Amino acid sequence: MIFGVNANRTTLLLVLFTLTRFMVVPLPSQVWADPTTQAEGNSATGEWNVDQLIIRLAKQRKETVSFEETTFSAMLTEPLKTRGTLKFTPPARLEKHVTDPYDERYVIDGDNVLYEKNSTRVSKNFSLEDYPVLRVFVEVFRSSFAGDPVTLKRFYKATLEGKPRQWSLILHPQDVTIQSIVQSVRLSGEGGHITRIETRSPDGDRSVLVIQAPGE
Amino acid sequence: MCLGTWFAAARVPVHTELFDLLPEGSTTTQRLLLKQLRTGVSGRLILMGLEGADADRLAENSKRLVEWMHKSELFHYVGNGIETLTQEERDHLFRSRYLLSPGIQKDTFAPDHLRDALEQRLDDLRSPLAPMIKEFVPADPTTEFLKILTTWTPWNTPTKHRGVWFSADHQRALLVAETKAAGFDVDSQADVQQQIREAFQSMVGSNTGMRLVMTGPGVFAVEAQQTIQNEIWWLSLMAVMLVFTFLYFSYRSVTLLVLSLVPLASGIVTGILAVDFAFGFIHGITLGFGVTLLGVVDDYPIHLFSHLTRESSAVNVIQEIWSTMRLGVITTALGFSALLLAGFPGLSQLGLFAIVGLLTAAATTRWVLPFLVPVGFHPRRSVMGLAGLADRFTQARLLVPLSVLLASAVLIWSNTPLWEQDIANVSPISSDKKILDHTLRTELGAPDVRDLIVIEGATEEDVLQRSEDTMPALDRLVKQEVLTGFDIVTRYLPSRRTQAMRQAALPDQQTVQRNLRVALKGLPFRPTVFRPFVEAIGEAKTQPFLQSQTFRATTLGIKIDSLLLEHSGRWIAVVPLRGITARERLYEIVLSWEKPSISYLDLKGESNRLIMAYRNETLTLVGWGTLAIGFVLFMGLRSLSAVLRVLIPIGSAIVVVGALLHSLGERLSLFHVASFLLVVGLGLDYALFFNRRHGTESERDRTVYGLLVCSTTTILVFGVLACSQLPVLKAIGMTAALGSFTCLLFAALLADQGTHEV
Repeated sequence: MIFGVNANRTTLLLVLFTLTRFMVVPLPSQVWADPTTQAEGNSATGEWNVDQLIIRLAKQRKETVSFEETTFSAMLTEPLKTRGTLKFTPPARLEKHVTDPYDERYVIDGDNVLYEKNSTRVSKNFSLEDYPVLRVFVEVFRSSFAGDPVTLKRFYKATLEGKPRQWSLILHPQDVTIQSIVQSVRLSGEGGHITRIETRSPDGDRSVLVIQAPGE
Repeated sequence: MCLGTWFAAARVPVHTELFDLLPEGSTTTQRLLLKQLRTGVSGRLILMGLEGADADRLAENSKRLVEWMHKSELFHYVGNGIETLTQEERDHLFRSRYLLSPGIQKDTFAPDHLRDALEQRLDDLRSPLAPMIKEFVPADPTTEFLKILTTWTPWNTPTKHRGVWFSADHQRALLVAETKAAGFDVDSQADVQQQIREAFQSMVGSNTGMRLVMTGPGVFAVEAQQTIQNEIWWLSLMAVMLVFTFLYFSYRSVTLLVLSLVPLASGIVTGILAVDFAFGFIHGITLGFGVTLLGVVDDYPIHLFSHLTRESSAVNVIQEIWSTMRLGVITTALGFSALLLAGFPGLSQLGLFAIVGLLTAAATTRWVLPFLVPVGFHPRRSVMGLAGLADRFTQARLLVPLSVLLASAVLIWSNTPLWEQDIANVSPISSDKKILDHTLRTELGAPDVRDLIVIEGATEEDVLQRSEDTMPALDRLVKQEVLTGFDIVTRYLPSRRTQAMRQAALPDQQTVQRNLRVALKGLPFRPTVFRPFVEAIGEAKTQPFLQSQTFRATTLGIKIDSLLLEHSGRWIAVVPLRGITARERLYEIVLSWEKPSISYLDLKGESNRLIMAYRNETLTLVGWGTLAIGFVLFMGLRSLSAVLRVLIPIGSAIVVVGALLHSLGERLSLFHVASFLLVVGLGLDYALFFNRRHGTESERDRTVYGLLVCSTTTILVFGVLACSQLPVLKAIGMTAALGSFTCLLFAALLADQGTHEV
């Protein structure tokens, strides 16, 4: 038995979603495996567009950034905050390390998610595909940091607003089942840096992740 | 004869389920369990692996295969990691969470416990998984639903990739399915497996390296049957060709070849009809082995033909040799009757088949065949001086006691065990397949069920309560590392007693309201958020209890059905155990609980014990059979020394053959014992004819020639069988071939030199 009855809450979460999986996401695997299917975009015109932004983001990407995330929910009377670091290692490894108010780590590499919590010494691997919510988050990061606009556009309807100096990229999931949990993701930034990621649920709840590059 | 054969073949149901041939168990519980294992869930599992491509493509095909399997309606259950609980089942479980959750205690909803739970829910809400978890927070802040699912998590689920089960190295996507067809329904199983293969092929196309591997009891049953059928087919073909060629060169007559088939064929047909009459069906394996055993009756026409001369008519010859032949027939039939009386269903069929076939073939040789032989027909050959040659053998008769002494020494002072202890070694499944099965089972975390705790009771509730009472002791055993895990029905279905206890532990709505207010103090939750929780507690207070019927025809229902059995008013909870190292110790521990309703069962050990019990029973019967044979011989020969002259070569031969097999690395099993009967039958024939001293020197020549032909055909047939890959056929072949040779040799060595008549 890996779990006792009094397993900690995040372990329970993991179990729940491994077992129930109420969102079956039909995912054409060749998309994951092969991002070179089609290169669309109008970069030739020299106009400011999503492709250019993504390529620029990848170029100026910092390996590790720190973040502060604020969660707003209809269940709550005041927002909740967490702090930590995000670390992306090309081509497909993303680490979200929460350091405050507790210590918790998600390391996503390919389809595998490693979850670790120091206080309870829990360490578990699971499949990203069982957690659509996490996948949205991961894909946004991966495709923007890896300079892969094709994958990004495959999963999201992308709209770009603003100027290269100060811009917002609004993403709407294409997948119907994902739409039921994530309405939109709004990335805002300055030049080649993402400074803010806002994720909205259909019920109006949202989380705002503010990114600071080290030294800033 | 052809018509009769067709009649038998068309009318007699030939069964192919191995199930029909296996022992039934000695106690009611054992019988129930063995039946459950064969026809129940574990017998119907097919374990599958997809390999030979990168993990993404394997995962995709795993999903497509499962989709097809769901649509095919051939399966009760299909799993590849993507959960199969339907929305309806999930809703049902969620509504029943306060009766099912092991987390419900007196103080679960006390203010301080609620406070802890609420703080943890705050952490949940700011985790990356918040959008998925938050729908459960308002109605289930203490996460009872999750606790239920946690206790249900299998011991170790396989690694997942793209939501699909994989081996740890991601080389193989894993699937498991439960067929609707029983595991031992070989024809249906073969059909299902073929459909899976075809679906897989059409899915991946032909020019990919992707492979589908399957294992499980049903797959084994199909493979065993196919192997047995293939082997029997080509071995029979080989044997028949060899024997025909040999007989043709011995007698140079096609007529004789055809005639020699008449007794055998009539024996087979009446054998089939007799078994059908007594059992209602004949098993394919009985037929295969039975025909092999009946090969001995080919000796009768050979004796007849060998004694034919230009001057004698077949009718006269048969009258002359009949007294000797009759004695051989009766004693051989007595030998086979040991098979008939053994409790092992497969062997009883075989015994009946052999006895009826033997008597018919003998009768045909006596009363039908002579009239079919053309007048004046006799085989062309020169056999002069054979009798003299044989007589010279008797000078070396000391060889017999010497070899018996040596053989006894080998048997007594050998370090390796004489008897086969593990029935698995007799299985026709190749070791590659066994290894694959073990690998897939380990990877899927679905080990072969070998060890069980069995809990019995008079009613469902009775058994469930006893199971719950046993759980702490089992948990202790896990902690003491006597076992690594167990599965028990009360994880999925608590007794009414427990459900009532949990219901009573739930506070009334006012109390919950009050506790919640205290717990929420200072937390940033909106106070109205948890209204669904308060209402759910109120509903659970009066909710009807869950029973096994509640889950009929659901994934959970299948699980419960496999762990809780009912049979004519007796209820049994089956608790599969994992990772047992010291079986003796566990046995003693369970005994020390001093609860007669709870017992530990090692299924493998149990079936080995059963098989050994049958073997011992058969050995005893062989002993009685030998006594009966001795008695009949005495009645026929009316001389103790003549009886001994017949029996001593056979007894010596069996000891020597046993020692030979042993030194060749064979471990003796039930099948060797059965083959010894055949050897006794053959040996009796040889010894009787060797000691038959009728007539002239040329008459003796013909007798010896006939014996040589008989034993050579036997050695040819069984020598071919000894080349088989199947342990059972190999056992029979080696024993009979060696036995035939040794019997003939010893009969010749110990033959009476005098000229007095037998």
